[in-house]
Amino acid sequence: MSILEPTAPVEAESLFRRNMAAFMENRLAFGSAIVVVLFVLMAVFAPWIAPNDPYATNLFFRLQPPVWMEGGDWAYPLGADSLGRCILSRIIYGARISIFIGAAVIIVATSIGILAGLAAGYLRGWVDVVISRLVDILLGFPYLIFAIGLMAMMGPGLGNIILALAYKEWVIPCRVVRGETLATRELEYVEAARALGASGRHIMLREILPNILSPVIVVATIRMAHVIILEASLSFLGLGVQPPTASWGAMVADGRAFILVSWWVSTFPGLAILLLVLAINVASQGLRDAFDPRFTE
Amino acid sequence: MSADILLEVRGLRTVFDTRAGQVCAVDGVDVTVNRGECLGIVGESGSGKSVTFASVMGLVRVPGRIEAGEIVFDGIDLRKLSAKKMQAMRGRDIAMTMQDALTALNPALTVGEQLAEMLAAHADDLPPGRMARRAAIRARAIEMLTRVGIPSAGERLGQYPHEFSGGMRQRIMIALALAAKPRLLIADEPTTALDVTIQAQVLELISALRAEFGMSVVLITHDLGVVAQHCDRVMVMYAGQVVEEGPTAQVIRQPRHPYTQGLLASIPRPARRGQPIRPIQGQVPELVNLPPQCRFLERCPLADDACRHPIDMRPAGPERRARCIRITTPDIEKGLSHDI
Repeated sequence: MSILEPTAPVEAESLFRRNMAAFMENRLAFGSAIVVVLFVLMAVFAPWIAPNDPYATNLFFRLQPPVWMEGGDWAYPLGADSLGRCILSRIIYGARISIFIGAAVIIVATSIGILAGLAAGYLRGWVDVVISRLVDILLGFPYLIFAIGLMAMMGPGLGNIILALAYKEWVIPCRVVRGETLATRELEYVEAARALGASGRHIMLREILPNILSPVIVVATIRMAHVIILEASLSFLGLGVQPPTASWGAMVADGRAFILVSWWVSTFPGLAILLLVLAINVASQGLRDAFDPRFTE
Repeated sequence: MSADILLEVRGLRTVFDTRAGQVCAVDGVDVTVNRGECLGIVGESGSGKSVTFASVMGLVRVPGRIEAGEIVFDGIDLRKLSAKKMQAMRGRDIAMTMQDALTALNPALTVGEQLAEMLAAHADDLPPGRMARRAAIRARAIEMLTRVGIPSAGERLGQYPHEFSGGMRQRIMIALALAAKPRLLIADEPTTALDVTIQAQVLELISALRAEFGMSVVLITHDLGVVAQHCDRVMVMYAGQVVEEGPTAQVIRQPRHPYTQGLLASIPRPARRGQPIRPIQGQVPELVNLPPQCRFLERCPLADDACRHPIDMRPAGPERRARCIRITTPDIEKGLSHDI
């Protein structure tokens, strides 16, 4: 990465690496991070892991119970839904949607938020006024209703979900970045960079940004859990990805009608949402503890 | 005027608008820096020495602004330059090192990255081609670090600022400032955060590099000892004004202004062992709504009603000027020619 690779090994240790070491020591958070990684691997390798085709319907196995219940079959370990599709396979494929949308929204929103926050916090003046008021206005809308409105306007679809969620999500990193930028721009090394002829762009991207990245990473991971829930909510309401694409929220919705007789149809995708969101939350708490000096003893 | 003048500041007035009123941090300051010379700026905290040179660098920001004066650097009126052109001059023609070396380096980037960016931005004699350019930048970064006295520079390029000691960081700051070979280096209290042995090394380094690069240096400090050893000329500032200026040896041997005399008298010296140190009584006046009179009046042992009007700089010997009406009065001269 650097054009200045040291000629001999030196014990260069960045703040980031030290923080990561602290994170590893937190067993609960580290375990949760492993769970998140497992979910990601599951999503990536879905075609090799899934026991069945998630789209193959088989009406003979309609509402088949999970394997440990009476009438269960190893062919469908977690049972089958109302169209006789393998629930486990659909959960494995559904992880792709949740994680992809969660990651995509966070990447888009964080990128926009970083640029807007840096501009507002460093340039101040009218730029700050415009961006900050826009943030205030967007914060005034209830998130889900805003997203529902956008989805209704744009129609369902993967790209549209990402847009509908990123449309408001960027204000969260933006506020964090703006606040940190306001504090950092007054520091001596930023002034020193100015005194040596650094341009505004250089100061924002090279002097300020690397120094405020830790809280941004923490916020991004915390928010990813929220975004996954929001995507599930949209899919539950039928505004998410198009059926028959497997999505956890849509699967919960599918099982709603049979919840009293075939509880497994809704419950397992619900548990998947719970487990992934919980793991991300615990891991991000651990990240925050490790990265935020206010939480370190 | 003469071709020997590199920087000329005339009637600089920099104010800060605060709720308590307008603070005039720099009030009618004239500075002349000749080519190749080292000018010392001495004064207490709040005397306006840093703000004067922040104004020269175009680094004064809201709520501060330059109200009047002209700043001419090598024939260019810096106040008339666009922000972009001024930015291009900073670092390349005039570089400034900041007071606190411990916090003046970006903690998130390695020293090598910071030097490389400085070189990439300002050096225009780099070879074409990506790899050749990188190699040249790296070589020059090592050269700069070696020049400022950092051993095994090649290895230390990959280290972060927190892995260096205070003196080393100050050296890195100087290497950064000198990377583009500026014609004027403004060193704002380069030794304040360092211990005494390191102070001497850093100042020696600045002197050596000044001779080598043929640049001018402005050394901002509150340590008269530093000025005595390293500066050709000295300017003493008090409450936003220059109160005395002249060749260092003369000013220190025969200070004309009561404030300079007070400063010198308040330095502990072995020769005056057993005698009490004589600090200047009182405090620097607040710079809001100053009355039109000598600013040192409240603390001056010689003050009387004649001092209750604005005092101008006046000649005080060859190449010397001071802002005191007492300079020409012979008996004062006698009364003050004490043991300095």
